[in-house]
Amino acid sequence: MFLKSADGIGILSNSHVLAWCGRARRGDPIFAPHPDDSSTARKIGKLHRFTSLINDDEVALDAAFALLEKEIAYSGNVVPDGLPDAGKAIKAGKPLPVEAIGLRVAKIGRTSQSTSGVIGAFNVGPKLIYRGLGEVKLTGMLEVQWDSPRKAFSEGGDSGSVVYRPDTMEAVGLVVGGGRRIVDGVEQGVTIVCPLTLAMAEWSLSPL
Amino acid sequence: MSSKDVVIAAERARGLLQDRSEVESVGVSRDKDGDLFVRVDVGPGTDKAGIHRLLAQIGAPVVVRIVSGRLTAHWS
Repeated sequence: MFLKSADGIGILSNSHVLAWCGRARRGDPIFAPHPDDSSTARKIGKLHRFTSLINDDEVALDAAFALLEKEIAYSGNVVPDGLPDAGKAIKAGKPLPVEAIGLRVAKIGRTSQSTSGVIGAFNVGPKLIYRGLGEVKLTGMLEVQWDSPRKAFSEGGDSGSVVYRPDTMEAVGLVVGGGRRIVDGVEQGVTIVCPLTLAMAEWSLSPL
Repeated sequence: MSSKDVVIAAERARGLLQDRSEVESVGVSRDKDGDLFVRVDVGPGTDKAGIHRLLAQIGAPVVVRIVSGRLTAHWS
């Protein structure tokens, strides 16, 4: 998601997307598209702020903010053509209250494109497996329930996607991870979402 | 019980369960009638009744679920 800081305009994504879970350094170059996705990858910015997931404590924020290079053109947070909500801008929203459980949300991701699901739990603290890092205990996350285990809300490569409310076009958070699991004998799919407002408050980020 | 009370109860539950490695996750969820409850996900083989007994003191409805399968960060 594009946001503004005192130092300039940048993109907010996950620490495990932009900052190697905290092993990167401030000022490291950020490339887009990912070199695995395209041979046209080029430097678009530099790492500015990030959280570290490498510690023994609970992690409340898997996020990183990269400042865009001055010459990089960007379209802001407008939903691309050909997708639901095309042409509408996603706005930075307020913190969701617990009453938001049951609310339908949507996301646009690199792998699974446009999908929707329902907020199933609030302030959850799941354990997530990070490649090369092992198990990390998260806290204060939102959980989005998939419509069915065969209809994923998110998949590998969707990290950092903005989850938003289609009814208000307000951003809710960033996709962190998820998967399928068996709950009391029934298969379910869930996506873990890091609340957006926490990162915005932590780093004094504001809407464009 | 207000929604704020349930959120506070979930925090108390999290504190009471912090040293229990079989606990996967603690959060707040909602049932089909719209009522909020504290949701505790535990690994297979966990004594659900024991968790309920431990959390009886938090004064909020508690649902304990047996969960298997790992969640992963969505790397490409």
